[in-house]
Amino acid sequence: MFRINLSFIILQIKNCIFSLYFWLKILLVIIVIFLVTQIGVSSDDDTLVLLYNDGSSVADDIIDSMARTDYVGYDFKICKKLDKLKEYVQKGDAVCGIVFDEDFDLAIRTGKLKNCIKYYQSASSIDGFAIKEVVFPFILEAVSNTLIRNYLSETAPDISPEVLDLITSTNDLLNSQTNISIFHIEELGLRSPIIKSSLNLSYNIALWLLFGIALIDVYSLGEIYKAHFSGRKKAVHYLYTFEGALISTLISSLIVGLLFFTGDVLLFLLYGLICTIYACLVRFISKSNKRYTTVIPILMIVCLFISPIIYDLTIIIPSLKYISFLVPTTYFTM
Amino acid sequence: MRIFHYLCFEIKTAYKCILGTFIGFITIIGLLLSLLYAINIAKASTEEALAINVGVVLPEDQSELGGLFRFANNLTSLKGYCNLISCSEEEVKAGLLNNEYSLAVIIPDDFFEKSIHMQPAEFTILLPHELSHNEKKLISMFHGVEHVMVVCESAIQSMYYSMYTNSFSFTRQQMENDFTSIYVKQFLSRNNIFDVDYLSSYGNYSFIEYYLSSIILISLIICSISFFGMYGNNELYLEKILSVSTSGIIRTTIIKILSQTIALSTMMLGLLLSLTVIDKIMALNIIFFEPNIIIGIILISLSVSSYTHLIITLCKCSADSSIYYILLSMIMVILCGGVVPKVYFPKALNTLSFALPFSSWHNALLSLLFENHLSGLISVLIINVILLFLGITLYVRQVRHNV
Repeated sequence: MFRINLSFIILQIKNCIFSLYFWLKILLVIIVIFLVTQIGVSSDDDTLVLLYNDGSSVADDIIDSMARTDYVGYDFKICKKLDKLKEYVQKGDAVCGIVFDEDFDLAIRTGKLKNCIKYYQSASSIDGFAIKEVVFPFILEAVSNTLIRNYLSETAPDISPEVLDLITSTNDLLNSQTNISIFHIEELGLRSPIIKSSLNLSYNIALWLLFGIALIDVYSLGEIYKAHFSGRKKAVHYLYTFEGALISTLISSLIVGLLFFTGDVLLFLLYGLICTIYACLVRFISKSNKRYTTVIPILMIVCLFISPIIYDLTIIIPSLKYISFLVPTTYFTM
Repeated sequence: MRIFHYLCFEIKTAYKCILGTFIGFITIIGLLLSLLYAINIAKASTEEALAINVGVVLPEDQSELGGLFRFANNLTSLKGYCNLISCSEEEVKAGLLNNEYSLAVIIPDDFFEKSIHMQPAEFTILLPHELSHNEKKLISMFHGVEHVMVVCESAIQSMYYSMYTNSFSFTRQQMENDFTSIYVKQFLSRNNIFDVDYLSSYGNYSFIEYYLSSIILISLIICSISFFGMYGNNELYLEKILSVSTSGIIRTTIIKILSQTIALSTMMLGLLLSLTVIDKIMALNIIFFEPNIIIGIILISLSVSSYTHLIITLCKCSADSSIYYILLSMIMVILCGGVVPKVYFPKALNTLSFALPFSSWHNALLSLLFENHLSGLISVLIINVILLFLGITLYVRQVRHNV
C-alpha cells in the first residue's frame, strides 16, 4: 500500500532545503522564539528596582545606601541613563524606576516631600506599592534632620546654631549606628510544596509553532504536490504528503532544537514526528483541503487556549485538563 | 456601462469568496477574543492565586495590636500578594504543616508594652521552608518598619542628649509625643512622596485595546486569502474585453481592488458594530462606534486589499501563493508588534518595522478606535498610494508579458 522510497525521500530533503517556503517558515519560527526570549518572564528572581540621579546633590548618599542594602527580594541597581531606566520599566524587566532630581533637594531642605520623587512604575506589575514601603525609610532618614530643625524652630526659636548642629550630627551618628530588630526568624525545615510558578514561555511557544508548521506542511505540501502532479495528469496518494511534511517538520524541529534548545533536540524530533502524524490524522478526518484550512487556525488557537503554553488555564478551569490531552503540545510543554 | 457591470460582477465574486470563509472567520474571531478574555482572567487569578497566606497570632486582650493588625491588613502595599489571617497558635502550626499558610507571625504578649516603652521587643516569624518571592517581599517590609523605627528613635535620642546640657521649654514626654506624631504623619502620607507615572509596553493603550486592534487587522489579512480565488488563469469574457489595452488592465485591476475593499470594509464594519453592541450590553466601555471609524476602516481595507493584490502579483498568481502570503503576513505581523509589543525588539528591528504597512495600520486603528483620531490615517493614505502604484504597475507588466 505504501512503500518507503529512498530516492523520493532524498528528493524531498532537497526540495525542502532549496525551497523559499521552507526558509520563510524557519525565519518565522526563529523570529518568534527570539522575540519571546526577549520578554522578561516572571520568575523567583529578586525584583529589580532602578535608581537614577537627575541632578540632585543629596540623592547620591541615598542611592548608594539603597544600592548597598541587602533587603531580601529586591535588587536595587543604579542606572546611568534615564532613557534606559524608562525602557527597562516599560518592558517590565524592572518593576519600577526611581528618579531623584533638583526638586528632591528642595524637598529635603524644606521637609515638604509631596511629589518630590519621580516614580516610573511598570503597568504590568503589582509590586509598585510594596517597593514604596521599602524606599520610604531612606527618604525619611534623609529628611529627619530637616524635621528636627523645623520642630525646634517652632518650639525653641532661640536655640543656638551650635546646639542645632550638635543635635543633627548626633542624629546622623545614631542613624548609622542604631540597630533595632523587631522580629527573628525560626526555620522549621519543612519540605517546600512543589508549585509550578512559571512556564518556560520560549520553549512552549517553540512547541506551539512546530505544531503549526506540521499542520501547515501537511496542507501546503499536499497543495504543492497536487499542483505539481496535476501538470503530469497523475493522481497523488495523499499519504505522499505525510512523507514530505514529516521531512519538512523534522528538519524544522532539528533547526529549532539546535538553535535554541540544544539539550532537547531528540525530544523535538520525536515531537515533530508526533505532530505530523496528528496533522495527517486531522487532514484525513477533514477529507478536503478546504475544510482542513478552516480547521488549522482553529486548532492552533484552541491549542494555545487549552495547553499550558502561555497560562495554565487548567488551574482555573480544571475540566479543561481532559480536553487538553487531545492536543500533542500538552504532553511536551514545560 | 461595461465597467459598471464588471464592477458589480467583481463585487459579487468578492462577497462570494469572503462569505465562504466567513463562518471560519467568525469562529476564529470568537476564539481569539475568548482567549484574550481568558488570559486576562487567568492573569488576575494567577496573581491572586500566588498571594501568600500569613497566619498572625495576636496576644489575647490587646485591642491596640488588633487595630494595628487591621491597619496592616488594609495596606495597599500588601494587597495582591499577601493575606494576613488572624488565628490561634495551634491553627497556625497545623496550617504551616498542610501548606495552608506560607509563614506565621507570632506576637508575644508583652510585645506592645515593651515597644511603647522603647524596650527591645521581638515577634517570631515561623518559616516552614525556603523563602518564596512574596515571602521575601513581606520580610523586606518588616525590615522597612525597623528602619523607620531607627530613624524615629535616633531623632528622639539625639534630642535627649542635648536636653541634658540645654534647657528647653518642652518636657521629655512632650518631645517624644511630638516626634512620634511627626513621624507617624510622614508615614501615613508616604504615598504622596512619589509622583507616579505608569509605563506600559502597550503604550497609551490597555492590553485589551492593543490586542483587539491586532485581532481585527489579522482577521482582515486572513479574510483576504479568500480573494486569491479572484485571480484565476481563466480570464472572464468581460475582463478580456476590458483588458485589451494598458488602460483597460489598469481599470480592471482598480476594480478588483475596489471590490475587495468593499467586501472587506462592509464585513469589518458589521463586525465592529456587533462588537459595539456586545460592548454596550456587557457595559465594558471599550469600543465606541463613531462615524470616523467608517472612513478609517474603508482606508485600511483598501490598504489591505492593495497589499494582497501586490503579493498575488509578486507570486505570479501561482497555486501556492496563498502559503507565501500567509508566511509573509505572519512575519510582518510579528515584526510590527501585532503579537509581541515592539518595545521588546532590538532597535534595528524596530526601525525596520516602521517600513512595513502593518505598523501604520495598527497605529491608525488604535488611535481611531480608542481615541477617535484620524491623524494616524495619513500614513495609511501614503501606504495606499505606494501599494496601489506598485500593485498596478507590476500587474500590468505581468499581464502584458503573458499576452
